[in-house]
Amino acid sequence: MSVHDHFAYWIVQAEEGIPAEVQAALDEHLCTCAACRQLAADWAALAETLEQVTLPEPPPALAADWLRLAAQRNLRLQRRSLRVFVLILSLGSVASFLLLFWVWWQAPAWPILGVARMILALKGVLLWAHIVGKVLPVAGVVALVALGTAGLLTGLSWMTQRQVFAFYRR
Amino acid sequence: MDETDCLRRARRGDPAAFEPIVQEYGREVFGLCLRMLGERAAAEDATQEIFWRAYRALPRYDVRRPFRPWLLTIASRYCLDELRRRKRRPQVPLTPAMRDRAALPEEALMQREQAAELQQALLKLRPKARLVLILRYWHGYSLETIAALSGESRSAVKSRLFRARRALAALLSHQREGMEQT
Repeated sequence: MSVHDHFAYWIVQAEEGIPAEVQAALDEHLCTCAACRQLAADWAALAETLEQVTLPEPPPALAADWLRLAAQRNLRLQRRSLRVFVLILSLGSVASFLLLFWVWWQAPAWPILGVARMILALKGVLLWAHIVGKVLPVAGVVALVALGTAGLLTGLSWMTQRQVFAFYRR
Repeated sequence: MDETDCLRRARRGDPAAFEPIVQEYGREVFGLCLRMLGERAAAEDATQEIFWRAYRALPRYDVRRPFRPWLLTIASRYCLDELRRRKRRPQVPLTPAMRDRAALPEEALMQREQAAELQQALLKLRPKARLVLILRYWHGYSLETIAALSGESRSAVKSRLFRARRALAALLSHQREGMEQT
């Protein structure tokens, strides 16, 4: 650090207070050093400008514009989460249909075993709905309704098919 | 309804409760953005974005802590990121005609010699140096607060402020000399 740097530091830091002994040495240095005198003059001009130039005023309708934009952005976010929700629900419903169909397909002629398998599959599906419900609270409830419907339809189709098979067996 | 109530309500998802906050801190955030970005239109967009980010981040905000530094931290980071983005993807500068169209009463004030000169010199500084000066002089923050706000040590902020002041003083002086010569 040169002598000039040392004094430059104190010139620029003047507003934060200079110890008396440094001030005396600085005054003495300024009498002999043109570069530091220039810096002191530049800094004084800047300090004055900084004091005079205030923060600019924002646009008058800033808050109202913000509220309008926030409403638009909220709507966009809601639409996005609805899309995610529908996607998860559709995938879940397709998966549960396939699972129940597979259980039904594998079920032996003895109905109680088929029902037991069906219960196990439903348990798995309920677990899935519970997990979805944790991520998207509303989705969990709707997913359960969709799964219930899927289960009911599969059950009905199973019963109908069994009757058809029974007819052929006869 | 005081600030804490507004923030609590806004936190529960009521954007209308956040409107008084935008009103209250709009000038500070807009001022910071305009000084950092240098263009009124960009500063307006940035202000809207910053308040939206703050609103969305409210669940993570501790209401017992002061709101102003928290908001200005978001604003500072946004402006620095925006300047970094601009560096990567240079923008088309506004033509004088576009500038005129974008002019508003505040821009007229900005045209005042001193403010315009200062803004011109400020824009020549590095973004972090610019930010330290703005927070120190237009927001009146202490070195400690600026350090907390920017995530740097007090001594780092102090030396950055020293360099920024010195550079700005020199830039302003050169500009004035140039104008006097022309």
